Amino acid sequence: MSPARQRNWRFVPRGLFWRVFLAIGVAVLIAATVSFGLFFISSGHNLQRVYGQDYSNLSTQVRQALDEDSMKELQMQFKEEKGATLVVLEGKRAIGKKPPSWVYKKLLRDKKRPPKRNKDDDGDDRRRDSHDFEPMQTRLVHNGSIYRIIILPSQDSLIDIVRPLVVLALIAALTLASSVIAWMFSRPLRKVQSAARQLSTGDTSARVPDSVALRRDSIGELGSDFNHMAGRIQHLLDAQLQLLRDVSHELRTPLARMQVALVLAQDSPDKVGSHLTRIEIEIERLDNLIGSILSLSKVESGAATLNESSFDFRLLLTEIAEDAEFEFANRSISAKVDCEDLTLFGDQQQLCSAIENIVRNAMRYSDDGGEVVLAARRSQDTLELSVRDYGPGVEEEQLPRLFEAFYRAESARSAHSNGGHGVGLAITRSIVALHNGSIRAENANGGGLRIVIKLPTSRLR
Amino acid sequence: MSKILLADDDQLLADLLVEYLQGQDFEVQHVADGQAAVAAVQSNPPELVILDVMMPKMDGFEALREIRTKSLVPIIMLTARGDDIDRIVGLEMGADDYMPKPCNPRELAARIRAILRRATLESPSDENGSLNARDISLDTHSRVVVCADNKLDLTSTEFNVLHALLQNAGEVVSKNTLSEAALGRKLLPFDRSTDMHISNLRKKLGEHPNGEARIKTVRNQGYIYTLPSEDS
Repeated sequence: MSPARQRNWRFVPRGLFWRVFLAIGVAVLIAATVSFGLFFISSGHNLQRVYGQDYSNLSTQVRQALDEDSMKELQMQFKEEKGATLVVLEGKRAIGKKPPSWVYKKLLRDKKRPPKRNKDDDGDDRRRDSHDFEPMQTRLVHNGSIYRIIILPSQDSLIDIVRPLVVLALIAALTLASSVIAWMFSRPLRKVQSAARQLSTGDTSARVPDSVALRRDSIGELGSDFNHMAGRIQHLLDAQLQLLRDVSHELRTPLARMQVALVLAQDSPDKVGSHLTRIEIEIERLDNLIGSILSLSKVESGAATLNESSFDFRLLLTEIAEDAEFEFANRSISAKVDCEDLTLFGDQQQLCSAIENIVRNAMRYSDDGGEVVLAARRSQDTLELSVRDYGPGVEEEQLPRLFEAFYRAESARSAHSNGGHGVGLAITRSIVALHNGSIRAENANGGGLRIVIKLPTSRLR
Repeated sequence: MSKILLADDDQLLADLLVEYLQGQDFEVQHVADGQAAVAAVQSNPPELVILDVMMPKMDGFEALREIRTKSLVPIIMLTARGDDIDRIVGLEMGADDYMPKPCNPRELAARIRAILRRATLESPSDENGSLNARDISLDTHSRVVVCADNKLDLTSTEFNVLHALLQNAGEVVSKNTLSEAALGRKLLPFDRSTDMHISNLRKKLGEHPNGEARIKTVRNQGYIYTLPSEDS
């Protein structure tokens, strides 16, 4: 929500709890009012229908009962037939059955606020304000006395008494219900919120508790999505931290050697030459390492753009093999190319360094006088390039990790401490991915490691 | 010529270090991993061991633990610079000192000498060659410590720290003095080595018979070997 919009809604309470509470409260209150109103109106009509037509008839009956002094019977009969209480008053004296005490109170109150209705000629004061649940009453002159006939709709009169209680209870129930609903919404969201705040302070272990994340509703989905996101961030940050540690370790290795070589050169003037050569090699190594780290970050961040063109793939492989043979001439390792004529479309320079990294790696772990084979084969929908050596291979569970930056299989590490710095294969993987290809490592039958690159045939021309 | 065992998986660095240390009149044996280091300590006991932390097969900490179960030979750990946790863990596990890597080989040689000298040092100050304080006695000739009738296995550094404390039993000894006595060097900023040696000593010594701590920390000053009043 933009700040401007927030300002427009300033009169709405800020907390989710209060918003939900108010919204539900108002909605339920409106619904209750409307439905009660309808109920009152309809029950009022019923009242008129039941008693309204009987007034003249009732007057006659009352007169008769007064004459015969049989008011109680009439009252009982009335109760039975109409389900309502008939009260007859002469002044304040009740004839027949005594009405409940509240009737007196009510009549007294009515006298203080006389009705504004017009009276009929025959003295009929028919206050039939059905909405207000006033008892229906009329006056009767008989034998010189004035009687009041009151009909108390028994059921409705009960509501009449408890009405204030009902309203109170209703308000209480509404408050309670909307609080519960609002609480049900706001409480889990608050947990998500606190996890988000914790995360924003840098605590990547912040998670929404399972009580929220495992809910089968939108809030639960929000919670589990949040946890997923936090887990991903934590993983990435940890990976970055590990990378930083690995980089600094790799940078320190040549530095440590240089430091010792330097002291040796200072202390023994007769051997200065060989120690300076060592320092030179280590400086070169440091420079290569920094270059590799930079190109890795370039291809991994996606900042590298492919400079694509068509080129002779077999020629590329042959050149790589020749260069590698030359580089490892002192250990007389040979590199063989087995490839048909293929024209590939891609970034020649990048693919060249990607394959070079694999071949160098293979040669590094080959025995002196060994052989490395580069074989490219076209199948139905892929171009498959495999580079195979006859070295010690890699333990099965370490294979998938070979392409992680700075990861070096333990066996390889101890045997060849002069090996690479562990960035080459990571760069290769990224370059292959940029060409929509895939890469994997496996132990070849008969010993040695085989690295297989698959490129889509759409790259062939 | 003192015999030193160097365990480091970086062959080139090890070659250079061996060359330098040999030039400094040390006899150096080099191994490339932790397992080989443990084996070498048993088969050909050196006078001092230098352990790199990052090693294949068995890392420096594991090798340290293995060696400590059998030998009290002085050990210097090579830890990555800035990794305080490595440093503290190493000292806690019984290493005598640590060197950040990359390190100046001259400083490494100086530390080796300091530790070796102190490991064989006999205190000239007390004629009879022994220090006593209640139920603890320390013999500077045989380098044996007997506490509550138990003979204790202390590394030479721990022995030196305890020696310095007992010489001034009941008085505060500064951390710097302890560092000088134990490792032959001044305390460096953020250096927790003496604290770790004290912590290891406390574990080995236990408490006074009345349950009071034998070595107490005096904040910002140092440590004190306590002499509780006899009647308490």
